[in-house]
Amino acid sequence: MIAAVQAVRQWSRDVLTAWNHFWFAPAAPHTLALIRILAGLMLFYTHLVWSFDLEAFLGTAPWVTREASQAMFRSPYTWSYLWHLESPWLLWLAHGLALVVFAALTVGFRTRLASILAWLITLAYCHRLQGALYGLDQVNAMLAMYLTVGPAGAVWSVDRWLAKRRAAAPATPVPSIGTNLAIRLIQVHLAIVYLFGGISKLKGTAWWDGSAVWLAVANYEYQSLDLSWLGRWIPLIAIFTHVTVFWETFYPILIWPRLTRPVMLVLAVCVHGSIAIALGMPTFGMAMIIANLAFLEPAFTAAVVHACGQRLRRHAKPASSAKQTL
Amino acid sequence: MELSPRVRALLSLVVCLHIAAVFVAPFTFNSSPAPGMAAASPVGAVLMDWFEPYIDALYLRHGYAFFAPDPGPSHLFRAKLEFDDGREPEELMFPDLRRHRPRLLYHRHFMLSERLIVGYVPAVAPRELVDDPVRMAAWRASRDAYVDYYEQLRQSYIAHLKHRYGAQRVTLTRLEHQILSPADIVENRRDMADERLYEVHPEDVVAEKLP
Repeated sequence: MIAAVQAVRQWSRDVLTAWNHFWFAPAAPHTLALIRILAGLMLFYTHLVWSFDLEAFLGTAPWVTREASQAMFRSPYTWSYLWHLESPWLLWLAHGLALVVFAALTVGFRTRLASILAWLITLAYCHRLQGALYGLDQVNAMLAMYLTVGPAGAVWSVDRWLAKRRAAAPATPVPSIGTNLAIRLIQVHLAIVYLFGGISKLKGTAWWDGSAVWLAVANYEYQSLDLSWLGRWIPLIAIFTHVTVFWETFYPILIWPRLTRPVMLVLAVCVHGSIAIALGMPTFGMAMIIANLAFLEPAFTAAVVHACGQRLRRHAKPASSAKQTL
Repeated sequence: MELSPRVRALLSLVVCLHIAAVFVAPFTFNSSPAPGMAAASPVGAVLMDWFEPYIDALYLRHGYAFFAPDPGPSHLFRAKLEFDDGREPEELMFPDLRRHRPRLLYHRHFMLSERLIVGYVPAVAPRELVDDPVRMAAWRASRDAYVDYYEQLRQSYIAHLKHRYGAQRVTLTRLEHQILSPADIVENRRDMADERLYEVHPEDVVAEKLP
C-alpha cells in the first residue's frame, strides 16, 4: 500500500516537473522572432488587400450591415471600433494607421506595443467583417494573439538594433519564459486546430472513399492550378486523400516526439503548399506553414536564418562589386 | 529568471482555462447536428455557456472543419441590376476572378457568396430529432435564427449593390456549381466552367417562419 502511495506521489512530482518544463523553461527568441516577421507580413498583406475595396466592406453602405452581422453572429461579446467610423476619411486614416502598426510589428519597432495593437486591430477587423472571413483570418488572429505573450522583438528587430546602438542589449539574446509560453501556446492551439480538422473530416464519406482531394481540386472556384489531369490517376487521388486525413488526425500526437516531428512538418508544408498553389489560397496556405514554424528549435531557426543571410550577402557582394567596376 | 511557485500556479490556471476555451469552440461545433445549431452534447452546451464571452471576444468560435465533412460544390450568386435612368439591365456574378483581384479579394467575395448558404438549417427537421422535444426546440430556434440571418444578409447585399451601382432594383439568384467526376473530365472531356453546371439553388428559406 505504501509503495503504491509512493508511486502515485512520484508520478505526481514527475507530472508537475514535466508541466513546469513544458510551459516555464526559458527559450531562445529566434523561432518566435521569425514567426513575428512572417506573421507580421501576412497581417500587413491581409489588411492591405481590404484597401482595394475598403468602402465596400467597411463604408456606410457595406456588404454586411451591422444588423446583418448581428443576425449572423448573435453575440454581445464582440466589439469593433470599425462600426463607429462613419466618414470615409476617418475610415481611411484608421486603416492607414492599422497598416503602420502591422509594419511596425514586422520590423520589430516598439514590438511589445505594436504586437498588442496589432492583435486588437486584427480582432476589430474580424469582429466587423463577419461573412467575408475564412481560415486565414482565424490563423492571423491566433498568431497575433500569441505574439503579445512573448518578447517577439528580442532578435532580428529594430528594437534590438536600437538597443545594440545604445549598448543596452546583451551580445546574445537572453532566453526567456515569455518566449517559451508564446511558442507553446501556438503549438497547443495548432494541435487543437488539426485535431478537429481531422475529426471533422472523419464524419464525411469522401475522406473515406478516397475522392475528397478530387472534390477539392475539381472545384472551379477554388482552383488556381489545373490539376484535372489527376483524374487519370484515381489511386493517387485516394492516396493523397487518406494521407491528408491521417496526417491531420494524428498531428496532435505525432508532432511532439522528435523522431516523428520532421515527418509531420514536411507533410504540413506539402499539404498547405498544395492549398497555396493549387486551391487559390496562397495566403491561408502560407499562414498555416508560418504557424507550423513554432515546432522548430530556436537554435535550428537561428542556424537556417544565419545561413540564408550569408548566402544573400554572398549574392549581393558580386553584384555590388560589379557595379563598382562599371 | 525563475518564477515563484505562486506565479507559476496562477499562470498554469490561466493557460488551462485558455486552452479549454480554444478546445470548447470546435468541440461544440462538432457536437452540433448541423452547422448553426446548438451543441447536441450537454457537455458541449454547458462548456459553451461558460466560455462563450471569452471565446467570442477573442474570435475563437471556429470549427476548424476545413473542407469537411466533405468538400462540396461552391456557391455563387448572380445579381441582376435594373435601372430607372434608361441604362440596360446588368448581370454580375459573385465572385468573379476577372473583377475581383488580387486573389485574396476574390476569396473575400467568394466567402460572401458562400455565406448565403453556410449555416443553412433545413426547413424540415431531421428525422432523428422528431421524438426529442428538447432537441426539436433547439432545431426550431436555429431554423428561425437562420431565416432571420439569411434575410438580413440578403437585404444587406441588395442595399450595397443598389448604392454601389445606382440601381433601383437588384435581384439575387443563388447558384451551386456542380463538380465533375474524373470520368467526366478525362473521358467525356467536359469543361469545369460549363454553364450547365451552375444550378439555381432553391429559395426555400424565407418561405415561411415556423409557428
